[in-house]
Amino acid sequence: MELFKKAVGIMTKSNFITATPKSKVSDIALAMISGEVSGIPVVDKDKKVMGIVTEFDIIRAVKQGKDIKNITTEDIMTKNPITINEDTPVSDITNILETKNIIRVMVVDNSGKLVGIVSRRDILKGVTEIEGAPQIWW
Amino acid sequence: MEVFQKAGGIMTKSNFVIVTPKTKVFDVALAIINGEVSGIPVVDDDKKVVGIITEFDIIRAIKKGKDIKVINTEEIMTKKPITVNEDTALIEIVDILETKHVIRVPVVDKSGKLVGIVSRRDVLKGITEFNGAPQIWL
Repeated sequence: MELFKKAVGIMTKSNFITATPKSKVSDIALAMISGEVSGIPVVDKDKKVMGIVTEFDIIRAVKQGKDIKNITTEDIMTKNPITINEDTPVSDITNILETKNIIRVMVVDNSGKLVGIVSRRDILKGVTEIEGAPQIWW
Repeated sequence: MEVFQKAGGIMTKSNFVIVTPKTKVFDVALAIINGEVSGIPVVDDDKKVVGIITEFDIIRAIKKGKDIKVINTEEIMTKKPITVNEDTALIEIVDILETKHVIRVPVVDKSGKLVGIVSRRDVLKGITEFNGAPQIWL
């Protein structure tokens, strides 16, 4: 159970979508709709975190009259997003999500490479596992 | 295309999870995890919207030391949430989502009965349909 108290114990480690700064925003929109995710980490070739792009970034761009087929992720992403590491306590993560009004935070190693994501969903899964709930087999 | 400019044109009308004020929070947590949703409308016996409960409400409750197997939805839900109607303009909904930091708004009829939900995802879908993107058949 101790494991659930740190990012590493609850983070999503694989099978999530990433984008690059040059990804077309229209492709990101489709990835979000098809992949049922609300935000996607933006990484460079070395998998270093460059930013994060969310549903609302795209909605805002469209509202501003931008053509999402002609703009790339770097035009609308949040640069230098908050990141954590595998040892960050879940209580700290919860505080970050709450005070910054964000849904997810990226987990990086010492060199800034992406190793996972912790979302509100991951926290909820972690805490219900503690409570002994039936779990989905991932 | 005109239809996408109002809540009625982009809202999710069926196949979404609802709960009542007496639903155990633990069951809501499982519904959120299994249903891949981040928030659930709370309705009374007449389907009138009385609240909304989100992932983060549950995380916050656990953080405060509450036992989610014992408490009911009404203890932690947001009461009297912002609602829209089918004729609410999309642009107005985007403003609500942005300024209130919410992910979704319930859509109600004149009597306050739930008829749908508009989420950021729904807005994004509506926008990409505008742009002629390939669509998921729902």
